[in-house]
Amino acid sequence: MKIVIAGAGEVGYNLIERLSKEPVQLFVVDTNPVVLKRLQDQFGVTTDLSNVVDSRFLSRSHLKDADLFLAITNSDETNMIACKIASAAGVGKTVCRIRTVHLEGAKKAESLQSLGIDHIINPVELVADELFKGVMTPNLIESHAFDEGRLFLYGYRIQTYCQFFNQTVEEVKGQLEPYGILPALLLRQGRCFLPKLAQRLEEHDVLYFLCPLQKHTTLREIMGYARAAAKKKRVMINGGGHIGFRLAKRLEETHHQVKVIERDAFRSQNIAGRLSKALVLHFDGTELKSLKSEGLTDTDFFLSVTSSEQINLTACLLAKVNSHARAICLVMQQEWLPIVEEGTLIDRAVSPRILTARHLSRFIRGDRVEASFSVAHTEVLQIHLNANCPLLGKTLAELDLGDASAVGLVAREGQYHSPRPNFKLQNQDLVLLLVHRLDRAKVLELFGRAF
Amino acid sequence: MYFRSILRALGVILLILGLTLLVPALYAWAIHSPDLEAFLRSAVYTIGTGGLLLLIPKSQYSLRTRDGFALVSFGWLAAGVVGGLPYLLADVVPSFTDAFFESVSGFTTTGASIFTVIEDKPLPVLLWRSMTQWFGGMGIIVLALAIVPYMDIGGMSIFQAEVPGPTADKLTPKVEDTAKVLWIVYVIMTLALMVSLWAAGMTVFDAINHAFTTMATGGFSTKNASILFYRSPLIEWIVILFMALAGMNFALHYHFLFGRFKPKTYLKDSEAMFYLAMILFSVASITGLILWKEDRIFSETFRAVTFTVTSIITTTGYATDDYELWPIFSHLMLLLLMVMGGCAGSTAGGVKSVRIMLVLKYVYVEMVKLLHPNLVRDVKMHDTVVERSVLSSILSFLFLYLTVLVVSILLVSFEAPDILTAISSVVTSLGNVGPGLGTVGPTENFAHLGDFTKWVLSINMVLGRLEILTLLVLFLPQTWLK
Repeated sequence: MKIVIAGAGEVGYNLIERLSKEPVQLFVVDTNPVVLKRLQDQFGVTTDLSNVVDSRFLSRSHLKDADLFLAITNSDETNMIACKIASAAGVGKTVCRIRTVHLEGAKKAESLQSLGIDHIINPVELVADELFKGVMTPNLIESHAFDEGRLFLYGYRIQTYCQFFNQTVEEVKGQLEPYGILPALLLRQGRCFLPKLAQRLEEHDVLYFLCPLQKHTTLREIMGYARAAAKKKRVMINGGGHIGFRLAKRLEETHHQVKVIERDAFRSQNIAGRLSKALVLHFDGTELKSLKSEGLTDTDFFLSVTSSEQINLTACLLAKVNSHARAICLVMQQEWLPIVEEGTLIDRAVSPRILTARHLSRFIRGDRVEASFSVAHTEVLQIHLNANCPLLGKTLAELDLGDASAVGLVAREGQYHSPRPNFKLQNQDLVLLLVHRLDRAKVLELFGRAF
Repeated sequence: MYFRSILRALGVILLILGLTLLVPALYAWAIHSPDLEAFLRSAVYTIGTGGLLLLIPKSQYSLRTRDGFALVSFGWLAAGVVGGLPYLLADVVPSFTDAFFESVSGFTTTGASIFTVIEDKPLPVLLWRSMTQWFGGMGIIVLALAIVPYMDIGGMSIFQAEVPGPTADKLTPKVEDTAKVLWIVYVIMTLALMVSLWAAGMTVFDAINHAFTTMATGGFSTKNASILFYRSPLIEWIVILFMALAGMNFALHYHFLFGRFKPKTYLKDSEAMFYLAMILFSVASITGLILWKEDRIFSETFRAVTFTVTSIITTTGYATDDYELWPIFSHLMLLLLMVMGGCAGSTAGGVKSVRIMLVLKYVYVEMVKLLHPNLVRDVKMHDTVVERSVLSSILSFLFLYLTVLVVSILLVSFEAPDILTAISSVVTSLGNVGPGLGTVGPTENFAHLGDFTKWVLSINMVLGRLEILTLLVLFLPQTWLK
């Protein structure tokens, strides 16, 4: 697969770092020679020092046989024009990073098509969406799409009020089986493993379910999390930037009580004009006195989403110490994530770059697997069986995947089948594998994929 | 001040007024009325003066904002004089004061009359009376802008000076086209009303007159008993509907008529909704009170109250029932509605619903700010922020309105027979309503008031129609400095 990336900024760097481990051919275009030099040295990618909207760039041959074109420079307009050029040059698929321009409504598809854009990626929207989910479904730790968005891996934290608390995995499995939902992985104290049937679920465990999208509400209802989510929530957001504004807008549209704290007078004026019910407050979000007078102690959620992680960290810690709120902290540097999540009281850290890079990687199909997602040391891999697969016609019992790996679900003609020992694999089956990182090569070889 | 430009523009306005005077003249000729001469002479005087003004050599300067204010103010005063000419010449009024009062009451769509008996007046005079209201309703300057090409008095500020409300809606990029569009909507609605009234049983002459005065929210009638004369619930409901429509922003009607008839146009406009809510609330409370205190039939009371409330809030001033016989609460409610008036951009008077609504919102925001000292919040309408400058101009307008009200009440009290008459006559004149309370109630008229009072009230009508500032700004010395 040949990928052309226009723009080697922060998002680009992260993405290139990820992709360099995959067997893909990378071309990076940027106007900054220093950055390109560093990329060449670090990851050995091919680079091109030119402007994407330059005619010289067009005349070069990168674009002709590229499968994917990612326009992720800092400028929306550049990205749009770059996509237009790329699609005209015959690129397989274009992805455009757009932050400010809103291509929404009935004309969306039309305007995208006229710009030659196949997919839009909006980092602000992604982060706001993630934070919104963090508020709406606080126990949903993460979710990842498989089978083109029809099947999801949902990671739910087990709380004492959850129906599954103190039940064995076998009991849980029995309740979910009729709906085609499978408890796939268990994350306990930082270690992830295939749950044993006799194991009892404890508080703070994270249980990962493989669940068809339509059955998600059913799952939440069975767990007893649906009712808690329907409650009106009091949310405080520190930082009224793009992310804070989008989040506040979505929360007020869903009738939650929102307070946005913004320390810049002009910006607060601006967002106050565009929000209707949310209260916009003008003060420094690390001022405890003002926070308390605005009801910090009674708030359900405290999110700090300013562009500075130092401020976010301080504000979240203040909130944690002075209230029972769930605190979510926006972190720019990837390295900070584990420190914030594990080393402090803060409940959750969200990194825009990781979200963006993860989202972008959806468009990239390596040679080995179609989609993958990793929880600690275990990976969830999606494999489409074809006629060359040596396992066709074999039952699952005949497969030897080792102790730490297993077949999760098999999708056949739109139906999801829980793994039973006598289930036979067929051509065109979509298999979701739960594989320990160390067994990855072995398992893939078994399925007939060269490593 | 560019006097030459102002005078030339004034000449154009006089020409237009003179030409409109030919309409009743034509009617007088058609019915062989002896008043033909009065109208012809008025027309000749007006057209002559206008023509003389147009002889002034063209100035190289076009009008600025301040010249616009002067033009609008002088234009309206001139209209008052011109409109009074036929009354004087046809000998239906005893003095120039009365002629001017009746004429200004017409052009400002007030509808306060000094005629004790209406039916004995010549028909062309009655037609002219209704016509003054119809022209004044949408505005004389707006009319001039709409029909005279290249008048060279363009610019939003002049338009703004005559169209009521805190901000005028610009429907088209060019002011002239906006004026044209507004007049087209106005004419369409007037024609629709005319046909409806005629179909409901009025004579053609009455239908034309009442259509003119209803759409202008004026309130002059060709009958002493006003709309009650016809004893027809159907006519009353038709008039209620069109009064309510005329009290709404004509920009909305334009969007409705020329935008595929979407009811959303009205439902999404918060001012229109506020105005309708005020009507509903007033009707419900007054009807409830009357039914509770007196033994009356619901359907009749409901119709009479709806008619009166709509007539008062839209500052039309028709009456089908003597509201002075209703409980005191309803008197005060009606006085408040007279002050509030209809919507911005309509033909109604008063301080306009949108101003009241925005001030209420502003007060609410200020109260929330007391609870949250760091709160940043602006007053919003239709999801957009209302600028601080607009709010402060609304607040100063409200204060000015009250000041003019109080000062005028003091002036009127020199000759007034009682407090209620003094207060209500000023409220009704400044709000361009028509009937008041006391000796100027719905069954009485303004004939018995003293000359001084009539002048004060006439000026109040013009102040109310031009929303005070346009006229008052001429009294600032800076306006006249080079």
